[in-house]
Parts: sequence; structure tokens; C-alpha cells
Amino acid sequence: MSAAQERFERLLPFYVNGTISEQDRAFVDEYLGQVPQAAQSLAFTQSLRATVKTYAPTKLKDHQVQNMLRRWSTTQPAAPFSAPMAKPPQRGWFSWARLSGGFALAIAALLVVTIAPGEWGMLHPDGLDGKPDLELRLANGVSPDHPGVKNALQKSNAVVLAQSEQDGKHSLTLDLDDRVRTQPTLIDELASNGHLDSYTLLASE
Amino acid sequence: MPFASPARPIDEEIASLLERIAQGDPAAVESVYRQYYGTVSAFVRMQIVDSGAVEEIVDDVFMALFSSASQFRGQSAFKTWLLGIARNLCHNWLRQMSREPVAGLDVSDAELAGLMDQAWPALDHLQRQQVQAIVRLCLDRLPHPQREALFWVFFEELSVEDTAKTLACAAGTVKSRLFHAKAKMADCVKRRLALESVA
Repeated sequence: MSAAQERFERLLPFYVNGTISEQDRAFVDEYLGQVPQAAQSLAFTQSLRATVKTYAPTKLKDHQVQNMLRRWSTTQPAAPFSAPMAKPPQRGWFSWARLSGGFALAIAALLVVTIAPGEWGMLHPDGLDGKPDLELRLANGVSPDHPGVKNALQKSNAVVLAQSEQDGKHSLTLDLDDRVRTQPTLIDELASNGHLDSYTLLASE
Repeated sequence: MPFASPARPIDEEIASLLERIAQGDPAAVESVYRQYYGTVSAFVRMQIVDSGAVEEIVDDVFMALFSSASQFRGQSAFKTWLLGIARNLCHNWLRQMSREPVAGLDVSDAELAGLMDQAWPALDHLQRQQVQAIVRLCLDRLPHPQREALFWVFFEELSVEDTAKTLACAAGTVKSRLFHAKAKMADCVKRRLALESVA
């Protein structure tokens, strides 16, 4: 390969993408005029560029944006627990109403923190204890071996206690370690990726 | 040896968006996601063949960005930083799937001269979709550094100087990667065309 050909080949990608300097452009144009076979190299480089451009995805859909926002929101700290303060009663009872209202709020907050966010009622203890915490019903066509499902289960340190299939849909019964932290993340990840059809929380049963 | 980019003033718009993301503003999250989704997707698609994995990795890239929005210091362009996250997640996925990223290396000068001295494959007789299918197949076989060079030059349409800064390498290295990539692509395409003509 001649030095001129090598210089031509090395400049060609930037000639094709339009960022080449004027001086180098003049060289490439002159080379193309003098060497007929060089046009084939130019055509091939243009094919490469056109194909790389096709890697752009189709237009972003609104549901993709909503899924991403939903997934991001699960990582955000919950809004501080608050309830509208009761309208102060008549003068004379005011201070007692506020005190009792505040006391009730504190008890409620204590119950929320100790039981689990959003879950009222008795739950079996957290940790890998062989008791089912969650049943997942995977979306149509998604198997437990799907890399996305396996990855999500692995990240959540979930143990599959049982699995079944009915009408082409797979169900998994899971025991979760650190249920409070991992359960919402697992559900959200599978749902946002379109791998989840529905689920049932089992820890209170 | 990679050279360090000097710290540059962060683009004001992106700085504002990152600050709002760090404060938990969903509108800023949506804005960044919409603005950079195409670029991140194209980058990941050029590294990972598994289309199912691409969507997951793309979303993982953005989740990593949102959780570390306050850590961007402007040592590089924002897009370079963002795609650096994408590159790492792609490599992690490939390792997890027991497919090591193809580091690659370049053919010897003698082999390269042999490849370059042959005629370039003619593709004008094929339909556009056929061309794309064959070229994509061959592109998926390139070493990852060469694929990345093709991405910055043909998808992002950077100059040789900007590509060199982005990849933290010399301009000559960028040209070499493209030069080798094109030669390998041409050889691969010719083999595919020969196979298809026999079939």
C-alpha cells in the first residue's frame, strides 16, 4: 500500500462524517480524482456510516419514560410522615387536643416503622426462613430462566421455594432476605422491564 | 498513555439538571432520560448483541447516572462520562454472561496490507436492508475499542481531535482503530457475500 493510499484511507472516515480539515479534504478529493478504485473505498465507508446510524433506537415511548420514572422513584426517600393537623378546638381545649393528636401520630409512626412500610397486620419474621414472602406471576412468554428475571432474583438474594406453569405463564414463590428493602425493588425491576404480570404478597398469610 | 482532559466549565443546562436530579426532581430525571436515551441506546447496541439485554443495560445506565448525579465534576464532557458508565455496565454484563469483551487486537501490518490491497466489497447491488444486516453482523465481530471508535466518528460524528479526547488516546490511535476496523469489516463482508452467493 502506498503512503498516499494509507493517508487517504485514514482520512476517509472524517471526509465522510464532514469533520475533515479543508487541507485534508483537498487531498482526498484529488486522490479520488486520480485513483478510480478509490471510489469503492469511499462507497464502503459510506455504507459503514449509514449502518452505524441505524443503531439509533426507535422513538422513545411514553410508557418507557413512565417505567423509568417509576423505577427511579423507588430509590427516593419517602416523604416524611405527616397528617393534616386537626383544626384547633375552642380555646381552653387547644393545647390538650394538639398534645393528644401528636401522641396518636407518634404511635402510628412507630407501628409503620416496626411492622413494614404500608403493611398492617402480623407478618412473619424477615430473613431466609423457608417461608414464602412473595409470589410472582411472570408475563406471558417470560420464563424463570430469562436473564432479566435471574438477574433480578440474584440481586434480591431471593430463594425460589416453588415454581409452576399454567397456560404458558410461570409463577414463582419466593423467600426473601431483607424483605423490606428488596421486595419493592424486585417487583419494580421486573414490572418496569415488562417481565411481571402480577404478584401477591405472602408475608402476612 | 492517556492524557488527562483539563477541567472544563460544565454546560450550564446539564449542571442545572444534575443538581435538580440530586434534589429529587422527577422533571429533571425525565428531561435527561429523553435527551440522552438515543445516544446511550445506540452505544449499548453497538457493544451488546442480545437485544433483550440492551434495554435492561440502558435503563441501568440511567439509574446509575441518577444515583450519582452529584458526582459529575466536569473533568470530561457529560456525554463522555455518561457513556463511560455505559461502557462499564456493558463490560460487566459480558463478563457475567461469560463473554469477555473483545479487547482485540489489531492484525499485523503484513496482514493489514493484504486486506487493504484487495478490492473493496461492492454493496450497491444489494438492497439496503441486506447491506445493513451484513454490515451489522460484521460489526458485531469487531473488537470493542474499534466499535467504540466507529460509534464516536459515525454516530456522534466527532472530528478526529474530539474523538481522541473522548477516548483519551492520540489522534493517530483513533485513525488506526478506524483503519483496522474498516479492513476487518471489508474482509468479513466479502466472506458473507461469498457465503450468501453459494447458498
